[in-house]
Amino acid sequence: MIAHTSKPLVSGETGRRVEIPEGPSYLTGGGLMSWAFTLDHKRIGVMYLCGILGFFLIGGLLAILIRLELWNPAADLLAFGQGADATARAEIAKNNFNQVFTLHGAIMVFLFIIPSIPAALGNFVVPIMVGAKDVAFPRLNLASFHLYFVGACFFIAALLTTGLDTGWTFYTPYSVTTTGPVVLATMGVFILGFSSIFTGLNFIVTINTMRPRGMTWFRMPLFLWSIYATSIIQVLATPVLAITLLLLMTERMLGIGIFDSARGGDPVLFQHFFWFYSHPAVYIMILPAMGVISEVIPTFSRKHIFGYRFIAYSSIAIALIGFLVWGHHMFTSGQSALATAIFSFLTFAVAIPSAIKVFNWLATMYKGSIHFNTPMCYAISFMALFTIGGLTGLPLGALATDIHLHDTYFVVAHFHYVMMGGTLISFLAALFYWWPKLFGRMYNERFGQLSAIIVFIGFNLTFFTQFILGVKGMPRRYASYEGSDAFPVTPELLETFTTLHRISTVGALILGAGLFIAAGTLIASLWYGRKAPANPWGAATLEWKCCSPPTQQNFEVNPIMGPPYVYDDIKYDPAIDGYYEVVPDRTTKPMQDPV
Amino acid sequence: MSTAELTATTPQHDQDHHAEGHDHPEWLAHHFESPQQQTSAAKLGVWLFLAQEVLFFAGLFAAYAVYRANHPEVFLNAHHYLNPTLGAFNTIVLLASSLAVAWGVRAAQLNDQKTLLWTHIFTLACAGMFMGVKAVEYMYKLYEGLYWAGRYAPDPEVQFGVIQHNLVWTVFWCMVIGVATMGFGWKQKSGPKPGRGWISFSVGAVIASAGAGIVIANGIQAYEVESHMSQHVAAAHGEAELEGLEGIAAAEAIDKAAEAHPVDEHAAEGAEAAPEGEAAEHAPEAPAPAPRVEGEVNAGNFFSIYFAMTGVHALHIIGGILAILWIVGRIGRGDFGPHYFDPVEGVGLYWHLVDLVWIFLFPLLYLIH
Ligand code: HEM
Ligand SMILES: [Cu+2]
Repeated sequence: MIAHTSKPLVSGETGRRVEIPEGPSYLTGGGLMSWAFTLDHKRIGVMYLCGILGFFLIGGLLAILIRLELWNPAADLLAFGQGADATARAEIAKNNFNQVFTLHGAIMVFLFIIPSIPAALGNFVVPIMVGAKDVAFPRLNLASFHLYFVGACFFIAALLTTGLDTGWTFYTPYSVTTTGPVVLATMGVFILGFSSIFTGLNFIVTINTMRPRGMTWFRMPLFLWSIYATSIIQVLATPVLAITLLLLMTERMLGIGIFDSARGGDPVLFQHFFWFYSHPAVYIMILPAMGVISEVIPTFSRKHIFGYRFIAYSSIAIALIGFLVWGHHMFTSGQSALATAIFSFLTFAVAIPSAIKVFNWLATMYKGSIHFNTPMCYAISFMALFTIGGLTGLPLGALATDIHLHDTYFVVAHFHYVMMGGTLISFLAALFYWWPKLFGRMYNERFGQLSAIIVFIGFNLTFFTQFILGVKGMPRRYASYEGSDAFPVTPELLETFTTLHRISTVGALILGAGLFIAAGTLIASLWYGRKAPANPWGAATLEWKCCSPPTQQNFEVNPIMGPPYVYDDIKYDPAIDGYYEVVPDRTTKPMQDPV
Repeated sequence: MSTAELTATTPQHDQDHHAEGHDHPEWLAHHFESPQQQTSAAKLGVWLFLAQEVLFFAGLFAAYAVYRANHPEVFLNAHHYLNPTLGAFNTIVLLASSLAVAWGVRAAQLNDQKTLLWTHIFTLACAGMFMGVKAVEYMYKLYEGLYWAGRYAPDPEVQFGVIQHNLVWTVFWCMVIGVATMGFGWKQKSGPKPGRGWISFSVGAVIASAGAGIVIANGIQAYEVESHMSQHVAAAHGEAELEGLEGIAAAEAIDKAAEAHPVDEHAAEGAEAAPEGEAAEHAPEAPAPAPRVEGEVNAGNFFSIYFAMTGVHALHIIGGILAILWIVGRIGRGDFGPHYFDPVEGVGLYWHLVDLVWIFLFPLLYLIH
């Protein structure tokens, strides 16, 4: 199938327009069953997309409930008017609050963010980016989606039976003694873990063995590098979570005592195990997001990415160092002073590659010809928010300050800046970026840009206030802040808390509105959008060299790939309001390698 | 952009394409360009899966290390309970099976279908035997009350007569069902679906050899258990009385003593923690009072780890049995030969890993001194 490459390119062909053959879209044909049991990576990606967006909606509504409860200092709203007197109502509200934030966190982490970019968009894009017809193991890919579905069912079961109130972290000993459906939920996470492992395994093998001719490691689009790094973590860290949860389940059901100090076990061991997965897991969330930004920024700056190799190596460095810093979640859990110092040092080290990336993106934009399309707006928003999120990780990684900030709203703000400001925003950038490819329709740019701005404003209102709340001593996971013996609050402090919490709640509503505009823009495009050209943005990676939406085979002929960020041969065609590629003249212009 | 010659297919290319399409062998999936690509993908995939398995087990080994570092005395005490002969026997069984699997891969390369088939059936028989032995070990533990920490309630006066009786029947049924299934498969294999016939035959082989494993293990156990158990119980009690608090090997005896004293604070806690309320049952036979130092720490902790590790390992053996049955079916169908044996190799590697884990488990659990 690579036969045509043997035909030499003669200089006379310069300027010839590369035609992209149209064909029946992968979306057409087949009933429900042909979707549910499809082996096509694109359909699996689309099904994942529907799944995660559904859970994002549920998780988001739960978040709004949390914010509304915190409007007033007392725990009141979530009692839903039940309870005989004020104290009884407060008790009910507090219990419900615990369940709401647990489900919010667990759904967002395990059902939304972790599969968001890799499993949904990555599934769609990765094989096309490597010019392949599918991932290496299509059946495993389908199994991964089915496991996601089953795991999600367990979660829904936990949601319906309610009472899960351990927080998404399932810390022992509480998770062993509470009455909630811990086994159900951890079983769900266990299954989701294997779904994630299978996806990662598939991507590593696909990228390793199925790259097209001409695509050396250092000609891979950076999205592939970051997916590769992510997949390494998925394959190596997730099994540790799996065995931990298995032990937690047996602990709960049989009392094997491994995490139970009353039986000679060690509850802190659970934290070690949990964070051995969950710290790397935050990189499962952010690395693909960084990969997206590395695609969007050069495309909309019309400029070769700056520092290709630095960004590529940083992805790998983050993946590797990320395995060694889990202890920074346990500075106050009683680990040895030496371990604490080492973990603190390594935590600082892991911030370096992240910073390298940010600087390289900035340098890419410098003197670029910047187009503020919706994906670019989200990407710029990402850079601002992720930088704040990353920098506030440093005071948390520093021993002295973390003692004060641990388990306060400062931590909540930090991880929302990286997880939501980073991953979610980048996911939106990716969704707007690849939407024309996914569904073959262009959305309304104005509404897209508007959503980016509103989301940015709403986000900062919601979470910047939480940094201040945290510094002032507001603990996380509290339904009320009116003060008690254990948590004394002076009247002035109460006033500050109230103001800040209210700003935060208003911000959350604005944020929600922005997200609804984004969703509306995309959904409306399916009906009213104009047909997308194969390459609407003038990007140079392979997924823009097949038609929109792609055919089931992706490519008629196996493609050959040069460096991914060279835009000289991509020309604008007003007739299609999109871009086309001209065949380069290899005699005068040899293939360049990225710098 | 200096990519890509994504030129539209010219007629000539179409021909090339079709020509290649024809010698696309059946076992080459459509999305791979060449057999080499498929093989390297399969290999890498298997190795990554094994890496994942290693980390999965690593969690258990880490738990073992932490537990043992915190309570070395409990682990020392454990050598009274496990039967190293049985462990060693199973180690040999697994080593033999690993050898067979490796031999099978070689046979595939040489297109020696007969050896390929029978090495795999032999492997399955070994796996069945391993499970039979393990079953006996588990049965004895549970009859003696040697449960995990939450249910730990050893009963030194246990009557092995009952268990022997049950085992006789288990063996009988294993043999009957196993041999019948083998016979059924043997007939079926000359029919239109030889693959299925060989699968049935192998299932029978697994069941029958599990029966054989039970017989052997029971023989070894019955020979050793009487003397061993009585010795150890006496020793444990003796040391406890002699050394009082310090008797490290006597964790169990200390445990009993504490449980027998409901007045003791810790014991009361213990009774609460153990859902069965074993403490209350044992109360009357109170021996010397021995204050509890370690809360609920007892040999049950060791058995928590023991059951968790060997249980997870046994699940992997079962997974291996299923995978090898699938391979046997495909061998019977004639899927493999020198040109294509990726699945044989992959499953073989998995089997080696499962064996390797056992090689670590055996000394860590059975050979503590
Ligand atoms: C730039 C490098 C980063 C540094 C130095 C850093 C540092 C830290 C530290 C020290 C903590 C523990 C705070 C405490 O509990 O007292 C923490 C918490 C957290 N971080 Fe980061 N972080 C970084 C990036 C990220 C990223 C990229 C993500 C996710 C995409 C993330 C997600 C989280 C989460 C979810 C928690 C809270 C976990 C919990 O307790 O529920 N962090 N971070
Ligand atoms: Cu962390």
